[in-house]
Amino acid sequence: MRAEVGLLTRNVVYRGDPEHSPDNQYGAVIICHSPGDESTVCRIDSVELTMVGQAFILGSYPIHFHMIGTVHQSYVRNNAIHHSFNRAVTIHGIHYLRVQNNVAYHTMGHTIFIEDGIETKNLIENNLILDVRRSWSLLNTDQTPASIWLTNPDNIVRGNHAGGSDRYSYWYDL
Amino acid sequence: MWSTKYGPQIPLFGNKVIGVNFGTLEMHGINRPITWTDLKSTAALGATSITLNDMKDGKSLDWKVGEEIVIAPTTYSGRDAEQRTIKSITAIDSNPVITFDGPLLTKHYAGV
Repeated sequence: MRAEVGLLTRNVVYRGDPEHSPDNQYGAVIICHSPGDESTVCRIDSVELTMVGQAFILGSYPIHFHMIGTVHQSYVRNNAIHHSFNRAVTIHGIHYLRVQNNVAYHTMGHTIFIEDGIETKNLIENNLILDVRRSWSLLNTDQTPASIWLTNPDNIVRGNHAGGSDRYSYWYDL
Repeated sequence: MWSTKYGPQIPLFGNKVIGVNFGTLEMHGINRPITWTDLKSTAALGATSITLNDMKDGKSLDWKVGEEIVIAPTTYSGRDAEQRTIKSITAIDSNPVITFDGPLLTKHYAGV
């Protein structure tokens, strides 16, 4: 066992406003949504996301892939997502998304979140997830949050380090 | 990004948002070969430096002075992760030593 050390700085920053977001927990978000396989492509690589996520707003997460179907061309990798008020990465109605080598720190609620149970073949690999905090402004289960919440075993989860949470690390809700 | 939850809303997407609908979003920063690693040796309570583990796969660390790092907790509380600003960094090809201001508030263990 060795304490992990993560890098939070990137040269491209996507953030809420420092003046208000920490107080009102209303940060910036990215939502990728359109119905149909490969109908939207989101490639997010080596970006720092901070003061992100919108507490109390279901669906407004720092990075949210929503009901696209297969997303072979998309990925979320090498990012630093820290100080989030609503999760880090949400995968809803998505297949074949790659989530790799990200650092998540100081997030609220289930931090990497596979939503419905229909999601398959997503790759969640080599992510570091630190300081996951309970959220009273999300779903009931987010009061006992997991670093990685999984609803379908047909996803590849390997090499991740869940390094500290208010309650759970991996939660398979089947 | 600036807005409040009381500002104008885009259906489905809300506001303060990059919303992608039948489109392509490319967001790319400079690639960092190592986004996270672990400690070579235990960092004691009160320490102001850490030694990182052996670099793997021939990679070397490109972390720079002034950048922010976070050190995972090894206590019984998940909230004992500690964020620090890099003050100096040496030996980026083997076992980098990073110093920072602000002594560690807990021990961060590294061992079997």
